[in-house]
Amino acid sequence: MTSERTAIPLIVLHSRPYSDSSLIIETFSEHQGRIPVLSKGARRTGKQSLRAQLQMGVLIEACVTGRGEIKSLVRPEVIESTAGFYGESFAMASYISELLIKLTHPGDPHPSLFSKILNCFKAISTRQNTLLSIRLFEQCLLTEMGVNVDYEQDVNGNAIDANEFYRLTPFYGFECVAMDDKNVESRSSHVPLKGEALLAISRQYLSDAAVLSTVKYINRRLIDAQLGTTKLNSRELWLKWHGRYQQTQKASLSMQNNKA
Amino acid sequence: MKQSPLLENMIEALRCLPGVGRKSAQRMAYYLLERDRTGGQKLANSLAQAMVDIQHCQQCKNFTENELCVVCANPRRDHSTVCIVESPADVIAIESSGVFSGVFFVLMGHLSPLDGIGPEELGLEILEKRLVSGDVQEIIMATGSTVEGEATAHFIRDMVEPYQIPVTRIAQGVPMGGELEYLDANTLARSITERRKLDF
Repeated sequence: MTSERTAIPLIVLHSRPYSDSSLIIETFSEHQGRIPVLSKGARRTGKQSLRAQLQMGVLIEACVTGRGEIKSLVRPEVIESTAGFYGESFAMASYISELLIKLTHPGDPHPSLFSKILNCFKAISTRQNTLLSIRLFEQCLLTEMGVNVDYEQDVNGNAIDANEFYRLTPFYGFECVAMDDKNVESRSSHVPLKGEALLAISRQYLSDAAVLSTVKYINRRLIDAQLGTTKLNSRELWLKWHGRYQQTQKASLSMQNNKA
Repeated sequence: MKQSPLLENMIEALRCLPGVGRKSAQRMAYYLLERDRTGGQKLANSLAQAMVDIQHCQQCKNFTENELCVVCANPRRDHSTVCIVESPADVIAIESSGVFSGVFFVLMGHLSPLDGIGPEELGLEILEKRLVSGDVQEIIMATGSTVEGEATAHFIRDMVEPYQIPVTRIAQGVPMGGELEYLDANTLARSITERRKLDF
């Protein structure tokens, strides 16, 4: 365990008000995983610069002291800020934070996740390689949780065939399906996945849009299996935002047409 | 030591206030009982009446005992300019600046999916009804300069866009009396990217 007085890098995941003048901040460290910390007096008048540091996605360096479940945050300093999360980016950044808060336990070390989280927040705020970064983060999170999917062998031990189709059963793996099997097609939760895409995923060739879309489907099903009945509010917000955006586009178009 | 049931109830009830633990609640209860029974009675009556009568204004969602709050009911206010804020305390802050003569819309929070606050919880359908009426000419976004505050402002901007109503954001940057060397990097960066021409 890190000495209490040694400053450690922490990624801010979320902050919420606590009592009259403080904030509880969910942070993520490289060697101690998720650490909820208390920033005493952060909401007092004159502490604006402190609050500005404690925003989602910011990398800070601070001492974490105390022995209780919620430790105290001491002398935080910004190491790397983000360009901000605007529009749908906010829902995406919240998704990263929500997954970490709902699927990891405080104090459980996940060293390989740290850089993935940082890359993801950076990609979301700069809007560069956003989807790829999110998929890589999801894969890393699933691996850290002990979810290892074999992309080269199906549940019967046969090698994945690029020309066959497979369906995913969380906790088991991929099962070969015949494409003319009507039962398979009728069940929307069992979308047939192309063997070729699974092999591309095993080799981490994720640049192709179709492969990335398959990764998204697989990750989502595996994450949902881990979440159980727990809902992801950020996913709902994203859907609403996206729906609203499409509505807005339609309304603007119809207004332009009316004017024309 | 076990207190009398009435006193115990009173201490427990006082603990619902933010930042008040058992010790503070006990101190408050003893103070009211020993030194200010009239004040205590006044507090109890006021609380009982307020909890029943105070509702949300039908136009802006601020607290009021009437259908409309004092700002919305005032015909001398500019009802075509709506300033959107996060809390009733923000209304007081803007009113005390003395420069705003429009009306408000109080969100009672900001978008925060991790705390379970989505667009429905902010009552945006009430705001949309006002937009549909066609009386609104400008929306001023005065949500906090936090990640959540910015996201809320963007969500509302997207919502307002089809109505072709100008949406402005309150200026952000160096505060009055602020010295640059003591400012945080984010605020300074924003004040530089959103600089304006010296035209006064």
